[in-house]
Amino acid sequence: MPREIITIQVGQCGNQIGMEFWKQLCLEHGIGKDGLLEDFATQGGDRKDVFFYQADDQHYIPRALLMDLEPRVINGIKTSEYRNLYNHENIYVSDHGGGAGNNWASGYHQGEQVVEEIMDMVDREADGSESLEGFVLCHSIAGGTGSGMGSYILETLNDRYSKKLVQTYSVFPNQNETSDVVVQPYNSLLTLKRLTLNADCVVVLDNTALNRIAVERLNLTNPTFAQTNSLVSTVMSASTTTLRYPGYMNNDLVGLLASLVPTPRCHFLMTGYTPLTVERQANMIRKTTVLDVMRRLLQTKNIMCSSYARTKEASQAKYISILNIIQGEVDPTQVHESLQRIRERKLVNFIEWGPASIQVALSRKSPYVQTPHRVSGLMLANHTSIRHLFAKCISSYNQLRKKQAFIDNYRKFPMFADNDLSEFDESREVIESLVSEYKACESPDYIKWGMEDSGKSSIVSELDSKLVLISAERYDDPHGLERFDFFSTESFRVMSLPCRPELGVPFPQFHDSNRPFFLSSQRTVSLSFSSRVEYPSIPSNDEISISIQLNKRRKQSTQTSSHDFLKSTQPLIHSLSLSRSYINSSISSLGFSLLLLLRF
Amino acid sequence: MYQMSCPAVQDVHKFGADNSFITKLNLSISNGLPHSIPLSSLKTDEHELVRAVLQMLQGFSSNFFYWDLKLNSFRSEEGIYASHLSQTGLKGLLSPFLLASTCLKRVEMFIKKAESFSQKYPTLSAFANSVHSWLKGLRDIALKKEEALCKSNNAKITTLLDLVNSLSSLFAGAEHLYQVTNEAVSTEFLNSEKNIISLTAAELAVKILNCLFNKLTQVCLVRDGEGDPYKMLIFLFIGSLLPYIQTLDSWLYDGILYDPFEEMFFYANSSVSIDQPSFWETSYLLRQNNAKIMICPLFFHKIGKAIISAGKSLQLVQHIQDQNFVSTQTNKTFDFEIQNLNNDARVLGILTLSDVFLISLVGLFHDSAHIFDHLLKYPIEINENNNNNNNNNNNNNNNNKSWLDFLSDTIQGITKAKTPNSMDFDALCTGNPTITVCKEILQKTPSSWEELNVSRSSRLPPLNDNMLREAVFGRTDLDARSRVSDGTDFQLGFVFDEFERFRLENDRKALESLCAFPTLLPSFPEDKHLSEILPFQKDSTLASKILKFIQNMKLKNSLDPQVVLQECLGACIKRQVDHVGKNILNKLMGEWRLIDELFILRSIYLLGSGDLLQQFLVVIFNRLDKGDSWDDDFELNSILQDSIRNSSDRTLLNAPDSLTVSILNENLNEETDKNLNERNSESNNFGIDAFDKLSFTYKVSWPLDLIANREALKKYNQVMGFLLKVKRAKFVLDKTRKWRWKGRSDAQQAHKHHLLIEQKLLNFVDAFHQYVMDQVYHSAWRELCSGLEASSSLDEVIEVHETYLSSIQRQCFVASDKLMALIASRIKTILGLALDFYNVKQTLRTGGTTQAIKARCETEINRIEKQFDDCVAFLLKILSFKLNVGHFPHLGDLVTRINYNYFYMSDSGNLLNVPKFEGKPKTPAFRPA
Repeated sequence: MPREIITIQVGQCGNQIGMEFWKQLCLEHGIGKDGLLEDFATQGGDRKDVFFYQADDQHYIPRALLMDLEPRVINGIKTSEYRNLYNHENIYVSDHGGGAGNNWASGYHQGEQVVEEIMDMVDREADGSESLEGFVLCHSIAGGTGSGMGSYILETLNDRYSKKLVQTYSVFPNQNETSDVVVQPYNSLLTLKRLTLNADCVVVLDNTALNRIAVERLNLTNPTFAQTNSLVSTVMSASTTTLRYPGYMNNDLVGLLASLVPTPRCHFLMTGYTPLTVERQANMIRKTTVLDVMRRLLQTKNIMCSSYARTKEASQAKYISILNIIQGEVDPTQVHESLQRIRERKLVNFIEWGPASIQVALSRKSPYVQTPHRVSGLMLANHTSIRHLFAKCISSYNQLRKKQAFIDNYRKFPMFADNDLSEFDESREVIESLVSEYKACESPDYIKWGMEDSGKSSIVSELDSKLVLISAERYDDPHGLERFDFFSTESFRVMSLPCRPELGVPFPQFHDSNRPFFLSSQRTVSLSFSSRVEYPSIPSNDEISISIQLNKRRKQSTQTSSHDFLKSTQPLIHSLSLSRSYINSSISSLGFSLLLLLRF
Repeated sequence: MYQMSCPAVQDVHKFGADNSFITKLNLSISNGLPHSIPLSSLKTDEHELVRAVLQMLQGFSSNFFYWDLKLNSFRSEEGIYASHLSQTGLKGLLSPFLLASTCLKRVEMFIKKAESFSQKYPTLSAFANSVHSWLKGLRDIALKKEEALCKSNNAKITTLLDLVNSLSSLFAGAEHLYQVTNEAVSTEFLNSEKNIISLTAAELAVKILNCLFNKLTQVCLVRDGEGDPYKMLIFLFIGSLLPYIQTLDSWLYDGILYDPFEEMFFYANSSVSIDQPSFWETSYLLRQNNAKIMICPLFFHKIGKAIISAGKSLQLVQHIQDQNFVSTQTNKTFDFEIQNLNNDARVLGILTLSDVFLISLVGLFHDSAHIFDHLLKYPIEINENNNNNNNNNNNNNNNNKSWLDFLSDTIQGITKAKTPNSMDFDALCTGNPTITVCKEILQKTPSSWEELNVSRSSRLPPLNDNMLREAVFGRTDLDARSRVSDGTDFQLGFVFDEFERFRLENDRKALESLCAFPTLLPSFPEDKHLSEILPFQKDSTLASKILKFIQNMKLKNSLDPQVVLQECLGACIKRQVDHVGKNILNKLMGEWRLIDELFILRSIYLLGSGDLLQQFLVVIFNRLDKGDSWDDDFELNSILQDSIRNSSDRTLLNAPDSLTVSILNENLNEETDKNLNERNSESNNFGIDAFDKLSFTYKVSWPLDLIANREALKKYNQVMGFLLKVKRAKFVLDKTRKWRWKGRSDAQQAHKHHLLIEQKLLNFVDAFHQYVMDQVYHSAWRELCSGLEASSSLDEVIEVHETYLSSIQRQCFVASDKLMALIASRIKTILGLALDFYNVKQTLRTGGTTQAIKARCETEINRIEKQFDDCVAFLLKILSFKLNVGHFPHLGDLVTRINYNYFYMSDSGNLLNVPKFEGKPKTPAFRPA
């Protein structure tokens, strides 16, 4: 049972990194550019059949599906020296070749249109494998095809192959440079929702970080896409090496990911790779040991995820799980030693709500690829700081959305027809809840998060549990007031608290009168807040997060607030009792008291 | 003497009376009654006595002394007297002589007696021989005295007193010798009439050798004992040791145990053949007596095992070569190799163990040099020596190194013996005038030797009695015997038996080769050992020469026998043992690919090759899940073969079917017999313990199955059984996790605390997996490899492998240690809980809609959580307790991994997040249902 994995590469970026990935695999397995096994590749011991299958003439064909809505990249592949590698039946290019115009909606819609054609290819590949383990999707989340069509494929796969694993390698846009894709925040948000809901594991390849690494670690002044893509292919091949060179453990995808992804949604993995080299850099070769590699993997600068996400609130950010895949001439006795050293030095901050550890998989290395370093390592980590990346997505979305910019492009497509932008809102809610879940993972009480003691209250447990976390963001409103936007997680809800310097404390107010408080569409609730506000210091961060815990209390009707809490202006810990309803009298019947925990 | 009876007096009168003046005077004084004078026949003078005494010392009776058979001692005749000595004085003077003579005589009797046993007891015989030599040496002193006495002839009269003084060392020596023979061989043996020895040959040999050894140890501390007891003992010891050493020699260098009299401290177990796995352990056993005490000379106690192993290793290597020889038929090269192997092994390629021993002895005692190292570099040394001689013409140098003389003698002797054609004429010719004259002619025409050989030329012509013989024996009969000639041929003697004929012919040829011209007998110089005259015998003169040398040598210092043996024998044995060990290790590591085979075992049994069994396991796991039957051997094997064939590591095994699996049915039968309820047997069949029933068999190729034998495979299987449990736990937990991911939109999100349990279980299993890989798979293996590199013999290799096995057993908690069992039960419980958890989850997933089922599942989950917490608390508490972990540092590693983020236990060792650990629970936290 080869435990096959089918790779689907969508869009320009997806096909480019996919191409690099296959190049790398061919090198490692000694497969020539035409798919024939090289003469020297006789050593065996590898599982080529996970990613390849053999045609009748014995040449190896990647289990890959290439899809794009514009022909440029795929034509490039078709004319490259690897043209004979792929099965040409597995290439889909849309007939019109016009692409998706960097429009998620367009990509999604086009995907919908050709779903049968695409799924036919997928089915054919799936039927051709003996014990299909899952799919790997390569795409970017910023453009049109990779994000839109990729999203659609994700949904379809999740639907049709509900038992198969779906892993994606998703390229996140570079936040530091002005992108040519202005609607990138929209696209990202919409794709992120699918990644959250329809993928089992997302390996985040942050272009920001890839660029940074290329500049800083590889000393390239102007890294090209080819160079960053080679980083990506390195990561991709390294993360699959335990599947292709099966060893004592981690020799199937589920085993590899199971310990990395404890909760269904927190499945976004950061990667780190060391030592990185590109050609002609002999002076950068250093002595590598297990400890050295493992230590470097934990350094922010080696992590292929935006560094601002890593440095921000670094003290609170925690690792949910880590898997290090170490290749090369490893002294296995050093592994434990390194683990202990890392623990002693407190180099890793782990979650507190459950047991966690660094797993180390020692993997064989391809005998056909010579690397200058003796030991190299890949880290796959589930780290809560990734939420900052998503928060960033949301905030740039918010900025764009506020201006209602470029929305028209989306309205052209069925999903957003009739000015129904609920998809955006829903996506945002999903991402927000994801952010808050990651945030919750940082607290020791994560297990209690999202669920009430069922004995205490049936109402709360019946409520959508995802309502609980609220994140806030500060910005200046048109009136020159500092405002805090509060986001709940699952059901879209915003309240805006103008920050009045003279009061010192945000004043809750509805932000969007069109979409008032709602917890779930079926229920009307009224809320009352009992909040405790903590001001450890004058807020200096851009972001405030507020967690609200629901307490059961049945309250009659509405009361007008006495604004008690406004009086407490001292910037220290306060416990305020706020019994004010911010709710239209029309939607009142149930009352809750909410505990507001403001943390700056 | 004092009491003179009348007849005696009369006798004196009759025979002894003379008419001397003194007699007459006496008679006149005593009124005719004669003085009570002694019998004149008993009167003697001291000169006579001295001679008689000396003769007595040589073992001869005389007028004055006789051998009393009853008392078994020399006695002096009643009434002898010397004129100028008082009776008491005389008695006093004679008594040491009597005593010494008695001792010597008794020793002589012992020797005679021992000779009658010599056929069966080589060591006894060797002992007797050397005792004999020593005895002869002692008596020679007396003989020389007597000779001197005769020669000096009245020039100076030797008195008894002089003799007592000058022979004091002889007395002491005689006494010692007697004492030693007495002690070495029990007195009962000496005295008994029966020709039966109650001891076995080995026991006797050990007794003799041990006794001599112990005596030596005592004596060596005393400086210059009277009568050279040390020298005597060392002489006897060396002599007695020779047969032992010879047997050892053939064992150590040829791998042949030629021990027909069963003297060695080990014996062959004929029921085990060399190609059986148990060969190494049981083919040669240490000899033990009824009380299970090892029969082994003291000084071999330490190296005994190594010696046995060396011989066995030789046999193994030879067996392989024989097999190759048979299979490839390239006989010459292999012959050559074997020859090479054995020859190289010997010191200088030719010296036997006893040669080395003896030469080293000379070096040690005479030259006070530790020569074994020099011996190995002999040719160079000797050249240097020669150079020195040539340059300085320094005789001293030569004298100082008498061992070198012996050595070159020996080497010449051996090389000569090997090339009998180039006969040394000088050796033949000495004292043979006929040949001396013809020497040159003979040397020129070796072909003429045939003619000279009397045995050939004196041959009678065959008779033409064909007819007669035909009439007597009948034609057909003769044909059947395939006679060479038809008539009676005296060349062949009067023989009717082929074998007899061949034997005679061989005998004659042997004689010819020994002594070229048997008709011309060489002159035998006195005092020459026969072996010295027959120059072409392989086992030449060295032993006798050196023994003689030692006997006559002046010992400079008395060394501890332990040191002597170590220097002279131990070093050589050790060298050979090391050599053989190195040889077999080379074979093991090279040709026999031991590491590769062990690597395969590791890949299979320690699941090192994740792929080899992956498919098999997945299929079996799934069957277990579904509750399908899986106890069909044939089916299991076909799944296994499939799995191996499809695996990327298939090339590891020579053939897919070299690994097979079978089900141990014993447990099952027992349980059905016991009528255990359905559920129980079911849980046994499909529970976490299901894999205990599987037994994997990998055929280890000969001779590596000496190392990885059946016992070892059993241990491997135990470890594997455990690892499979871990694997299964991981498998089911992975599956539950997958359900969780896939069920992300389900309402089951609420089961948050399931998540925690799941996380705990998975973390535990993962940590365990990691730990196993780290400790069992990598660290233990590295230890094994470095151990193998460091080992120098097959025994050590086996030991290293055993250590490896027991270490992985301990690391996998399958050892039978009490603490281990405690820990193992907890770990097994946790692994079982993983399976339980999976089952609950499955129930919830498939049919968990009704409240009742849900509730039951909840309670079940709670139970799992509680048990898990209990177990983990126990484990952490036990394992982080330094005293427990001290012996097993690997357990500390496990704790580190389980508790990596201090979830269960703070850095200071306080339990967190788990229920309070209440000491040692009286009952196990978990009882299997």
